[in-house]
Amino acid sequence: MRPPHDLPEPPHQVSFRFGDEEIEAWEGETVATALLASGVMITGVRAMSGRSRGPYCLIGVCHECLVEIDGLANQRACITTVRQNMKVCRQTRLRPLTGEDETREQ
Amino acid sequence: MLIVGGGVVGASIAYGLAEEGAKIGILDAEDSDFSASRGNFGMISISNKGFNNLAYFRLSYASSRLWPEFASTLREQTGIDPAFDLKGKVYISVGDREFAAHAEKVAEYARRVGAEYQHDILNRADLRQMLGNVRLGERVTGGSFSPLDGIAEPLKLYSGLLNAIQRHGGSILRDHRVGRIQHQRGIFTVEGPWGSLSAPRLVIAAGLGTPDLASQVGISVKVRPQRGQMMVTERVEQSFPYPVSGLLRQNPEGTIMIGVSTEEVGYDDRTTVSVLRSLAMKAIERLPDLGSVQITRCWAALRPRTEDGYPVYQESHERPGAFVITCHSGITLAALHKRLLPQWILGGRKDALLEPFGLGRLQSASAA
Repeated sequence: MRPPHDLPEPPHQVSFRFGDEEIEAWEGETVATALLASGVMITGVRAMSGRSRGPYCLIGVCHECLVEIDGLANQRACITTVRQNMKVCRQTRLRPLTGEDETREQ
Repeated sequence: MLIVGGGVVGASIAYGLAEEGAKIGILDAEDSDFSASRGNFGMISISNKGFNNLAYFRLSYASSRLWPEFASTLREQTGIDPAFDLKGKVYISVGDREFAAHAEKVAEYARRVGAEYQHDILNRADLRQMLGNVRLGERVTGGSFSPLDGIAEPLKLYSGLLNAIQRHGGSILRDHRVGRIQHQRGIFTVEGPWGSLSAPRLVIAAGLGTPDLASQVGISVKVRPQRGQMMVTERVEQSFPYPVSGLLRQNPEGTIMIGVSTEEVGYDDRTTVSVLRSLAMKAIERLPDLGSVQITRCWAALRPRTEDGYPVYQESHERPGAFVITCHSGITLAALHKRLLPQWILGGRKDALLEPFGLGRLQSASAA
């Protein structure tokens, strides 16, 4: 979530990539809130129906905000905290079953 | 006509009755009730049915032959596609002993059933070819494939059934738990906190609620709960093209279902770590790539089981016009229930396939 406006010390700003865009965010907020605050409403396309999806429940339940983060598909933008220089992409395909195991183990 | 029980079984019968022109009211209790219709895998399972009961194999097999038309009619009438596919099912054996026992059982099945029993044993190489890209576990020794089995999407099926019933003028009454059944001059009156309704015919298809209701129309039947736990995963690319018996299926949108356990624990529909872990281990032992897939949800449901595990189709001798229907495999039998039960309930013609499944076979049969 976004930090309160009256914090004694202002929070740090971080930035990350969303596709070709540079998104500014506050340290501690989620990828979904940073994207929404930047005006990004559509975070993915459902592979089967081709329909656009975007953050909806913002509490990790509805899985509508799935994005690819640093090469890993099926990441929920609404429960992932932003990190400096992370690479986020709109998710447009199903996650491959193989080939991601090693990165996922961490 | 009143149908007590609005799960897949009650709805399949109601759909058939409504299509025949009967005026139908389905009474269903609360959403929080134990409901088997949300605890199933959506399998049309034939190849593992009735090993010790040929009539049960024949009943299930007949339903699988009726399923294609059942599914297409439902889709045409409602626009809801239950995604039926008679694609077959794979069995995967781990270790030599399990494979040998499985092969022996399949051979014995074929001897008992005859030519209709199509089920081929596969060695590891055949199995790998059949399953396409997915990696097989190191301890997988072989398996088999039966083209007799199919899959459907149970939630689509269920919503399609409810939609079709309403299109044929039927009513679905939620939060209408039936407590008491009265009978006077050929008219049944069902009562609950919501009020009462009357009709000359009554179908009881209330799953675990069946025994209490059936006893009020003079039918003594025992039904006990059997717990099934299952999990569903995140969406991944289509990874294995056939469901794996009793354990795995991948849905068209990419989620993988893992389950279903079979437990006798009474009226307890909680999940347990030990059972879920063992299901997950069985899945990974067979298809190790599943080890990286995130589980998004797990749940359990109670499925009704009669004393001998086979369905019950029984009209009351004491109160003619009252019918009791209960079974374990409501998805497999849905097409048959829609086609064959209405002519029995409306016209008294009980198909020969249903004959072996009266209560007479059980000791606890009604004294009537």
